[in-house]
Amino acid sequence: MKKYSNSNFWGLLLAFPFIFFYVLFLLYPTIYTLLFSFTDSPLIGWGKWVGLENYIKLFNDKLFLKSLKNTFVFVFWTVVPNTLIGLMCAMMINRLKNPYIAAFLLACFFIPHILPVTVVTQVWSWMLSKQYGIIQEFLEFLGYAKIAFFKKKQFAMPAVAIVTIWWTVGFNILLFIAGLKSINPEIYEASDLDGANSWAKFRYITWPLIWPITALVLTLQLIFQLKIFDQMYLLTAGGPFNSTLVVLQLVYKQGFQMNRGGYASAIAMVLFLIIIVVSIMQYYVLRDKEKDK
Amino acid sequence: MKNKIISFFAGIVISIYSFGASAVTEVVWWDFLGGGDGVRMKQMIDNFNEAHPDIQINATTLEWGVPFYTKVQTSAAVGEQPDIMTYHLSRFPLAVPTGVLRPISAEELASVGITADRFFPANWEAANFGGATHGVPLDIHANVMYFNAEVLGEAGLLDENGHPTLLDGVDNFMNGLAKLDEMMEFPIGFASDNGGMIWRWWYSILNMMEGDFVDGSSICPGDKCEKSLQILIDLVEKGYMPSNVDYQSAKGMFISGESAIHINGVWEVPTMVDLMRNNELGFKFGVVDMPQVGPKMATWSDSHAFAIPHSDKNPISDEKLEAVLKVMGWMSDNSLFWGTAGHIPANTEVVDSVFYKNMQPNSTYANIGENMVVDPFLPIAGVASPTYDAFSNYIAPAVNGELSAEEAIQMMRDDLEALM
Repeated sequence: MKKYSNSNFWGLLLAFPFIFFYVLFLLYPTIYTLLFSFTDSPLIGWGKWVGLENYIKLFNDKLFLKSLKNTFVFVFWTVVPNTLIGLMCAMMINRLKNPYIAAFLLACFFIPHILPVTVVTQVWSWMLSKQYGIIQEFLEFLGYAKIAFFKKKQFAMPAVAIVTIWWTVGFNILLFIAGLKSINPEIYEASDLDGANSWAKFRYITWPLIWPITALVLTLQLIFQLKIFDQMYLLTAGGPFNSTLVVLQLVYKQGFQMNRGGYASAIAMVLFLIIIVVSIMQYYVLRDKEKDK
Repeated sequence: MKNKIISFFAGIVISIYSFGASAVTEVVWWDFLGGGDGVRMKQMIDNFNEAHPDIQINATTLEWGVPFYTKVQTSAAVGEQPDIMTYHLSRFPLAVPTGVLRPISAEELASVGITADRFFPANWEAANFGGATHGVPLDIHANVMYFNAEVLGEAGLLDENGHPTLLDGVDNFMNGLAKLDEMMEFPIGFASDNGGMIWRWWYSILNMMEGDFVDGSSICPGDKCEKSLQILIDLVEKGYMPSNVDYQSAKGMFISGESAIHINGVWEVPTMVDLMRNNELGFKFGVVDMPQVGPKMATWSDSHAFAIPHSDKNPISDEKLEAVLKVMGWMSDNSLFWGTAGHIPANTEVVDSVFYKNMQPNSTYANIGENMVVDPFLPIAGVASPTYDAFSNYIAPAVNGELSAEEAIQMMRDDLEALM
């Protein structure tokens, strides 16, 4: 008994630094934001208590509904493609016999992930620049006119999605490789004996066995992409005519540019709730699928 | 290596001692002057520091526009603001109600010789928005037309004095461009993807056409807004200027001789002057008023001012305030040099001086002073305001062929009227 309470004490002590910083930097600001969202506060300092007024205004705000839609469009362009590309790259790297080449390729895919977002967006805005972008030369070579990717409604969102996938796919590849390595090679040997072709091996061995990783990557991706802000702010700033205005960009606009801290907090709280609800829903959907197998 | 380490530590020791001995006041300075004018400002800061051993300006240049003003706002809120900063007078209506600008009393200003009678009345009035002086105007800057004198001469668009002719009136302007279009792919190098740049040219055209941007609580009454926007749309559509060109590339098009006309602010004058001086420009350039495409002449203008950020948490100390006032006074007295950055100094004594009157190429566009129009004095207008935002968001796509003039103006109208 004594031993048990003792280990409890040590456990708490060891967890204390985390709990301390968690409360200080996450819980406290979140509660603060929640309270803020019921006021008409400016960006800094308290305002008058207005109850649910911000929330009521929010659901009549065309721009908010548009930003919500845009955020989900971005999720559509990134979450599944990023996961599938990650899986494909991981499988290709995994097939390589030479471990050095495999390690080199993995590093190549992973390096973008360690770059800060400012560098990534700068590199891509150079590459895609209408005036001197290297991609434009390629387009011209193929006989197409130059395209201002971040200024055209039909290209802006996919272009930011491509930049995002290029930037973050390395992490997914890493997770998938770990998953692939954990599959017992004897299962593949057995399937060889049964005469399974590559597709059958993927469909009936790799895919089901790697499913937990796929579900994890999908969930992480969903959460990351719903929080899209940096790349969008740096590459399109929400334009052209709000076609890439995402929820966090609206929070920034209302809070920092319009000095409406209360309203911006209300938008942030709604996004917070959406992320929680959507990720829980996704978790249940993916978990059921796993059970069926 | 060892020597380096020793001198490093020696440097620290010496600086600690000298700090204790002469008590140098450090003035933290933020500006957004990233154009050709920024180089001149650095020179002025160096000159000030040299002349004042007891004050050292520690200057940082930050990103112009929204990033700068957001940073000022948040830094002042937490007490980490600079001691002095540059600020656009057009933004005072937005800034003064938020309390981010510290009012400066008449006595404080008088202590360094800054008095109302030394400034243009309209300018001083703008700096006194909200019933108190919130900043000291440094300059007036406007939009102008840079032209390649050799190409325009060849096209027969210069008069005997070397000034552009036949470019005034929409038809003449378009005809002149058609001539230039035969000589080059794009006669105009203009930052067509830049909301701020479009605002400056468009707002000038709107005023040339005697239109209003705001009337009471309605944005863009009548159809003048659409008509003035249509001119810019036509320029792209007819192939006189390329779509979606960024600021640096537009400037580059003019410098490289690719385009004969460049519409930009006076702040790029030093860029051209320096290139010319180093024989890197390859042609003779001139700076004049923008083409007058309506019944009267109008030129968008704004002013840079010096302001003191206010913070409840950490108000400026008396010692720093004294130093900052000295900086403001000195900069105003010495703003003749700021004229070489292309700007018109706000200090009338400087403008009236013989030195300024003979300054080149400033004297060729000195008349813009008579036709200046400033941004509407409203919280929704001014640098980094919702109006600038709306120009990037809606008007720039229209100029670049993504929206019609009517659609774009309507979208902006909906957006801005909701904020009024």
